[in-house]
Order: sequence, then C-alpha cells, then structure tokens
Amino acid sequence: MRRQFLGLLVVVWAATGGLAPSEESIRLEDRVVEYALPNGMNFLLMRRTGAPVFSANITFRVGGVDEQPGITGLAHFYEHMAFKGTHTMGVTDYRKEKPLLDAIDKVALPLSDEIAKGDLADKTKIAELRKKLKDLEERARRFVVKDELWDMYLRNGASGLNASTGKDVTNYYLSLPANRVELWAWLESDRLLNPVLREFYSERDVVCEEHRLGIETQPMGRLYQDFIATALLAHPSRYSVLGWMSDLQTVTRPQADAFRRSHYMPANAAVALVGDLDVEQCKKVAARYFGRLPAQPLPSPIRTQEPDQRGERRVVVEWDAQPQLLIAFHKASPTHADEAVFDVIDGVLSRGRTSRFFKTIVRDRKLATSVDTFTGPSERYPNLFCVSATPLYPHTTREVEQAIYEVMGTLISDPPSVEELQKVRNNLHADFLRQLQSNRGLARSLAYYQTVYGDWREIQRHLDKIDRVTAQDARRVAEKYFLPANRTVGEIVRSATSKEKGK
Amino acid sequence: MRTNARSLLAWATIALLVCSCSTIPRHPRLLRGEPLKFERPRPTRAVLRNGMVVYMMENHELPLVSAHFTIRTGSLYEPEDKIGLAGLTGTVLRSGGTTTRTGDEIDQRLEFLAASIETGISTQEGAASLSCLRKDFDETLGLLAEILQHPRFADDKLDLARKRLLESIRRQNDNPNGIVSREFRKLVYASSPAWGRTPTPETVGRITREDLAAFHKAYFHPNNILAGFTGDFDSAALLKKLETVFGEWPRTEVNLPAIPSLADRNQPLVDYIYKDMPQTYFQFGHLGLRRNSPDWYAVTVMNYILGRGGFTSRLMAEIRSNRGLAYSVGAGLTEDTDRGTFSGSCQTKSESTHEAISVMLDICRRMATDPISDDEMDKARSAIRDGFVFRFETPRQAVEEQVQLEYYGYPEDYLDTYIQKVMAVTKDDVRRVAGQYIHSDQMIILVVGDKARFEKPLDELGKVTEITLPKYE
Repeated sequence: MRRQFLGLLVVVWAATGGLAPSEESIRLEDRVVEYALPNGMNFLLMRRTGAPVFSANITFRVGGVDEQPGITGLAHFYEHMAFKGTHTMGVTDYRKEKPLLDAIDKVALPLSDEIAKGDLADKTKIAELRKKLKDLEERARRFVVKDELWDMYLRNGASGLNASTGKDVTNYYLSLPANRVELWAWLESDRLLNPVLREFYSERDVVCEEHRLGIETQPMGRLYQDFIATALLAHPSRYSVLGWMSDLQTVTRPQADAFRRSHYMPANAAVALVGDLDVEQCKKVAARYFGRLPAQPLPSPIRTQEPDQRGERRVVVEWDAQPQLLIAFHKASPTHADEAVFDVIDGVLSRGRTSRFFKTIVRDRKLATSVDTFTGPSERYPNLFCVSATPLYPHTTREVEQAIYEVMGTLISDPPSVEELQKVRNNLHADFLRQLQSNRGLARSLAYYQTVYGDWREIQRHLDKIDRVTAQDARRVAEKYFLPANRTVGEIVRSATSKEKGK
Repeated sequence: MRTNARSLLAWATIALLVCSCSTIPRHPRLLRGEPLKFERPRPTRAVLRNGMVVYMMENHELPLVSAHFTIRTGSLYEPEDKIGLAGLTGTVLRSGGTTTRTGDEIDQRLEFLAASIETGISTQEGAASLSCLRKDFDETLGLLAEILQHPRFADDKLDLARKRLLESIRRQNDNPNGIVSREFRKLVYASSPAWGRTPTPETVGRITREDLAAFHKAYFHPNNILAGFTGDFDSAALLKKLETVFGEWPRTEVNLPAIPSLADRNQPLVDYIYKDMPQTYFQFGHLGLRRNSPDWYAVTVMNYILGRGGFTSRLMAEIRSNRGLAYSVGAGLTEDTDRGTFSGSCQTKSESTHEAISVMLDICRRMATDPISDDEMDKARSAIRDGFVFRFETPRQAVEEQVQLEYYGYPEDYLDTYIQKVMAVTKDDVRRVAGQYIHSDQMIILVVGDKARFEKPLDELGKVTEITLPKYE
C-alpha cells in the first residue's frame, strides 16, 4: 500500500504561491550537484527554495578511531583548536606572537614528561614549569584577538555554528544568510590553510573539564567508556572520543599539529552546501578559496582487526546511582550486506510503543522504564549492535537482561511478520523524507555519507537494501550474531561506600 | 563623448566585478556587505466557530504535514497535594486511548503509517503535536481530534505512566545536572512554589484516574487552544476540515486558578548539596523581570555581551578561554515565567570552585559599572539583526513563533518592530538594565559537589545551608 514511497522518490512541488501545484517526481540524485576540485576536495551542492539562508557542513574523515594511546582524545581536542585562529584571524601580529608560541612548547614538553612520572614526579619542578608556562601564555595573549572566527560569523548572522567529533568523522557546520557564501569560504579555507594552534594549553584545561562533565560526573558516560573498551580489545575504536584523562593532561601542541597534518588534507573531506544558493557561483567560490589547498596523500587505513570473541565479557561500574544496563554484540562492518538487516531488527525490537521490547518488557511485564537499541562506536570499521535498558524498581538488571535475551530470541522463534516489516520500512522512508525538511540535517547527511561510505548516494541505496530485507534474513542474522559468546554486558551498580558516605 | 563616458563606466564596472570575483580579500571584514533583505513569512490566522485559534502556512516541497496545539494549562494549576497530575494527564491523554479506541490500537495504526501524535503538559503549557505523510493527514487529524475531545485515561496506562514517573523520581539525583536545575528553581521560586515544585512518591501516589479526567475537563476546550499547521495542505480546505472534526466541541468558559505572585528575597543565600565527584556544578541568581517588559530589548543585548553570546561573551572569554576553568559557562536573564530569573551556571574541577564562582560574580557585577565598548555593542546588535532570519528558517518555526507570541500575549507588531528596537538600544540602556536587574546582594548560590576538595572552605562565600536529598534504595 505504500509503494509510492518505496521507490526512493522525493515528490517535489514547485512552491508557486496560490497556484495549483504541478506534480513532478524527481530523485534526490537530480538535485545534488557534485563538484570535485583537482586537490581531491568534494563539494555537494543542493539548491532549495525557502528562506534565504543556507547550511554548510565540512566533514573530515578523522575521529577518535585515528588515535593511539598517548594521544587519545586528540581528534576532538583538535576540533577545539580549529576555532583558535590563523595567521590572520585571532591575532594582531602573528610575527611577534610566533616566537612566544615556540617558547611555550619548549616549556610544555618537559612539563608533560615530568607529570607523566606520576608519583615519582618532582613537584617543585612541575610548579616551576607551570609558572613559566603561565607567564609565557600571558605574554602571548597580548596578541590574541579573542575568538575572532566565531565573532566574525556571529556578526554576519550565523546560526547553529559549531563542530563535533565522533569516532569516525569531525564536522564543522553552521547556517548563514544566503548572501554570505564567500565569507564562509574565506573563513573555512583560511583555517585549513593557515591554522595557528594558539591558546593551546588553556584549551587543554577546557577539554579536561569537558571530560569531567561527560564522563567523570555522569554514570552513563563512565559506563559507556568502560563498556566499549571491554567489548573491543584491539581496535582503536575502543577509546572514548573524549580520550583518557592522563593523555589529555599531557598531550602537546606539536603532537596536535602533527595529527592535523596527517588527517586534514582536502581529499579527506566532503563539503555540503544546502539552501538558497546559486550553484554555479558556489562552484566558483569553492575553486577560488579551497583550490588553494595543496593536494596530499591520504592517511593509510587502520590495519588492526578485532580478534574473535570467545565468551561473554562483563564490566561493572560502581556509582552512587540507580542501576543501568548495556549489552553489545559484535557485528560486521557497515558496508556488509547484513547491515540493512540489523537496521530492520533495530526497528522491530525497539522503535516505538509497538516494538517488541516495549510491548513485552516495558508495557506488559513492567521490568524496565525503557529498552533501546543503538549502533556504535564506529561506522568505518566492524561495529557493535547495542541494547540499553533502565530497570524499573524493584526489578534487577539481571531480570531485565534475561527478558532482553528472551525477546531477542523471538526473532528466531517468531520472525517478524509482514506487517512488522512493512511498518519498519514505512518509518525508515518517512525518516528520510523528514530529514529533507532541514538544510542542516541534509547537509550533515550528505557530507557524512560521502566521507564514511565514499558516496552520498548510499543514503538512498541503503533504503533500497532495507526494502529487500525478509523475515528469514532477520532470523538468520539473529542466529548468527546474538550469541552469548559474542556479547559484552555492562552495568551500573550502587557502590557500597556511597551508601554510608553522606557528607 | 557620451558614448565614451558610458563605455568607460561599463569597463570600470566590469573591472570592479572581475576584481571582486577573482581575488581573495586580505581580511573577511572586507566581505561584510549589506545585511540580508528578506520578507518575513506571515502565517495565516483564523478562528474556528468554537473559538480555537489556528495559524497555517502551506509548504508543498515535501508530502508531509505537521501540527502543534498549545493548550492553556500547566503544572502551575495542579493541587499542591497531587503534584505530578498535569504531567500524568499529558502522558495518559495520548497513551490511554479514547472512548472508541484503546491506546494500543492507536499505537498500532499510527506507527504503521509512520505518523505520530504526542501530548504533554509542562509548567505553563499543554501541548499536542502531529506529524504525518500528506496521504494520512485526514486519518491522523481525526485521531488527534478524538484524543483531545474524548480521552479514555485507561487505568492500565495510568498505572504504567505512574510507575515510570516514580522510577524517574528515584533516579533524579543520579546526574548532577538534574539536581542543580531542579533545586535552584525550588530556591529561586520559594515565595510561590508552584513555579518550582516537583512530584514526590507521596503526591504521585494520591493521583487517581478521576483526577486526570477532571484536569483534562478543566482546561481542554477549543477556545483555550492555539493550533499551528504547516506542510502540504490547502489552507481553505484545512479550515473546513477543522470545522468538521472539531465542530461538535463546544466553547466552554475556562477558569485558571490564581497563582500567588513571586516576591524578591532581601538577602543572599548559599546552599550546598554533597555529591561524590571531581567537578563542582553551581548555579546562582535571583528573580528577574516580567515577560513583555519594554526593557527586554536592552536586556537581550546585555545578555549577549555578558554571557549568552557564545564565545564572544565576557564570561566565555574569561572563564573558558583565558582561564580554562570550564567547558560551558553562561549567565543572563531568561523569560521562562512571569518573573523570569537572572541566573548563571558553570561546572569546574573541585579545586577551582571558588575561583570560578568569584570571577563569574565579579563579571556580572561589573556589567552595570564597567564601560561597554562600541565593538561589544556592534557584535551584539549585528548578531541579533543578521541572525533574525533564522527565527523563520522553516515554515514550522514561523508558525510556532506566532503561536508562542500570541499565547504569551506579545503585541501584534512585536516581530515587525523587533530589529528596530534592538538597534536603538544604547550603551547606557545596557548598563541601566544590568544595574536594575542584576542584584549582587540577593544572590542565591547553589553548589553541588564535594566541598572537601575545594581550594578554600565553602563558608567563605557566606553562611552555608546544606540540603540533604532523599535517598532511594
């Protein structure tokens, strides 16, 4: 009954006020214009009518997965540094500032070395170096124009200006009035061409505060960190995007600059511009500004592979908090044919009030207030299918865990019905349509798929694959992956000490 | 001669174009240009025969329709011994089904259509939203109309909603974020607790199915509702449809219970809550100014300069950028109730708690006394003016903005005069409102963390009152 939406057709009407709209069906493929520069940088341009604004998203294929011990958290930290300016932005006189930045590095390196000695560290030496560092930073600050990039954007009406870093990608995004495309190109190409990592060590403290905020004061943040590091043993996707605290506290500016040089090359990025744009003019602006970036070979992919799992792993986090539960199963890489099956299973198990988890565990048995599923941590490498649950008192995590396995088992004993499959498809297709409503969301998806899958058309191909998933597929995948020996279980348990400690 | 001059001019123009197109200016300032000129989208307003106000804006780009209903009610109006009633009414209104269909039947149908209807009641608003494909609009709207007019409030769904609410109460102290915002509201609104109180197991235990039905009956009347529609429909046809599906719903007088007014505190207060963690979460502030006050334009500029302007605010520059004390920091006046609040908040490692609090308070205090630069004024006003278009980025935002403005009683020309009034704000205005609405001598400071790890004893801030949170098994 819903065939009209299954062909991946976006039905578009010309918005001609008052007149009867003339119906025309076109594919998203007809609306996205691709434009590649000789240096390998890819642009995806899409003109939409509507408000005179556009959204821009630059996504680099670099994230936490590209780190090793010693520099964990650096992909995210570098994203902060990308706002600190260039030879021109954020500074009154770069020539005078530069010698001070070099002098700062000369103090910061021995300081990091000393801190890394832990208990054996020379406390006086640390204090001396810290003071030296602070004095030099104070002197360098005299040349700083505070957050000038940010300021320039906001004065020009920017909305939703920010950046985010995950395990797979780092993206820089904002929306601007339609007449500010060239301003955007100026600022973005400048920060790729002439970045200066100024105010590095005070920003390092900021990133440490972000780590405390996201992990050290949040029971679920801490559990997720430990849980992923337990489920994955060898692959760098096991580290939290925020990194290990000891790495954050000792990482240096030269390390950050080296990280940038090995990942921030034009061919490692995709740029999406969506909105009220002149596509031909965008191409010219892109060539003029981003064409200045020199071509560079791409970093080599990570060769480490996870060893197969031989038996259940469990991890417990003690906290002054109510119990929580996480369960993960290894699955294949997202480019594997089973990925679409996992998406359907995800819908059948946890999407909405008619999902199997909700009906059985939340509504009927009232063991948990919610049971959800998600995929993580990395889409560039073999990934995990995860379940999270919040038990309902007085039921325990063990009871909820058992119930989750029982419901997952029904994928084999009672494979999804025709109606269940159709419901999941209908919802994934509607998600696709709804995502087209926002310039920002669309720009993000286009750049993300281009970067991670090498082709933005994968957005639509993936929907095609989902349409072909059968009940038998769901059963086969459940039998293959949802095995006790393939899972990791994490839980929050109330700590014994927190019960007495009250003051 | 004339021809010559003309061609000269033409060449000059072409040269200028070539120049501005092919070279890259030294500084982005040179690309500034004129502010964008745009026509603000104006949703159509209509009133149904039964008094329901409807805003509509067609958008035929995609075959989707969405709607948002705002109902004049809120947890402000629930009885003191049954706190949680409004929230439960909002939840079970949707989950509990209607007189002709069970909640499960509605779930089944909506989810198959990839449509959604959700309802809820917050402090001072009731809400019902709808989102569906165009082809399912009639059916989905019919369901929503039935839910709003004839809810069943089924016992089993009330039981489920109550259990989930009780569990969320048991968990409300697991994260420091929730503790700070909840307890700060209680402190700042102590003189009229309806604004800040939250459900407890006792109040939730007293709520019956009849209470839900009565709460619904008191406020859910068409003349007490503002609805906004956007998407792929024809406005004239929609109006007819609305007169049909809501035609039987009679206009009924609604009496909103009076809420005691809020009173200012005359002295400062320091409250402390123990939490075993390496970072301190704190919030400080006091009551603010009324919604709709003519001072809001100056306050908006002041907020921007002080602590709401992202990285360019005074607080961000000092607390985050210079001192590396926090990831997030901000302060300003908000209009979230009839008095609103002035408040600031931040999270910093335990060892820099006093430093962060004292630097923040000092920056707030100096807002009224230190000079404001031309650059700060330009930053704030340009950002507000040039970013104004984003309040109407999608038709849905344009409609919801209109609904909110009417719900909270803003004047009709509010949006038309907004930019002009912001641009007219002077440095003196900014300092005046800072002096008038930021009161260092009335600060309530709430600190959550482990004071044993602070760099100085907490009571250096003043006499400390410790709040003990209830413990749940």
